[in-house]
Amino acid sequence: METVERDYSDKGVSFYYVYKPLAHPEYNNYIAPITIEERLMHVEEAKRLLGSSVTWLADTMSNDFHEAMGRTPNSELVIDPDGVIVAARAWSNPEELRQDMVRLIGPVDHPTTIADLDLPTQPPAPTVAKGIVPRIEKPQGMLPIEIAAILDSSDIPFYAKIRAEGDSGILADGSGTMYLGFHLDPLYHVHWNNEAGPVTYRLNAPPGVTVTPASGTGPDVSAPADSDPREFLVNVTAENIDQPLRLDVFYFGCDDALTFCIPVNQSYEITLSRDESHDWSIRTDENGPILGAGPGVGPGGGRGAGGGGRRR
Amino acid sequence: MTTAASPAKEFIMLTRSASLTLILGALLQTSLVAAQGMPPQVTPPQVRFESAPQVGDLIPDLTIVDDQGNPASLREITRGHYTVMTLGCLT
Repeated sequence: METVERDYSDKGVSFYYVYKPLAHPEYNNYIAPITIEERLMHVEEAKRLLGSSVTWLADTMSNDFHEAMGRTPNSELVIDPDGVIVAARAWSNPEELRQDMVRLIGPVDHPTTIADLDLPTQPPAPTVAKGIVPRIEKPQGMLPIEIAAILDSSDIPFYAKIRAEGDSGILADGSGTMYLGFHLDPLYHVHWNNEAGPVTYRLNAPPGVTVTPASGTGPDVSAPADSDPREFLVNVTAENIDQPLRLDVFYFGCDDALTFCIPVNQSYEITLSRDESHDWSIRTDENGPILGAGPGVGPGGGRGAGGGGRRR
Repeated sequence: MTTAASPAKEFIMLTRSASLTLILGALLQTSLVAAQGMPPQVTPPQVRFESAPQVGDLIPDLTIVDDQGNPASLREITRGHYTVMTLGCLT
């Protein structure tokens, strides 16, 4: 869109990127935001990465625009001055967009090309060393289930965020295998303080739901710090999925600049139903996406969860 | 401890060979979907889009936010001029 924006913004056309829920959480280590402030941190990160001159907007945390657009990952609309949609597509397409502009506004003498943009490229947000704690192998086909951070459970940001995924049994009737992954949000530049103790969690299930194991402790890591996820698989037997589970997590974190090291105790609600706002997660390493780590091919994969927080 | 930056080869490749719109999701989506396999329970985006507003419809009467968090009306933003809106995210 940037090339088209360069040619038509001075002809009265307004261009916007609208930030929406993550399509594939964990790709390049990015974690789904749980507050509007965090979503706006993502917008700033997108600005940094892309160097674009296009104006950014963001969906609210109720994801109304994303829902209205069919929860598509990269859709595009062209709207006329009366608010009528004159072009709509599931996938943004710069060539088609330029054709729209030619049709609606008129051609330009020298269309801007990608080479003309000369935009800077930036790497994703850096993290403290990864690859220290082995990743677990998830069952095939896991997809995200609904989680909500209990924002009042902590006065500090959710430096590490839970991503919960369920297998087909969980998604069907609440009984099956659930993945719990505690992933550090790279935009906070905080890492695990392994010298203080491992990550621990406790799940409190409502009547009619049994979770095994109901609590867990992450590995005892000899390295003083790392930013690898802490992951667990639990079995869930649910006769009643009307009420959410409560998850409490405890960990020690330090910021990468080592200005603080603190204990963190935060809580979430997990509802045993599919989170439709996010698609499957994509694991990446220093070489990029890990092929075969998707939800339908071998171990690993699944959709990310984490669409918002709830105040109590 | 060490800081390990992760060079975004995928982003760099896309930056130099495609528009930013693609960086925001499309080419990444199609290539990774092909590489990693969309699970059968996931409805393809093209099908999901069938429920979205189509040509001839009014833009939804919704509130979004600007990059400072200030609420903004979609209809107010788009009134009086042609507008292009592309939805996307970092992943």
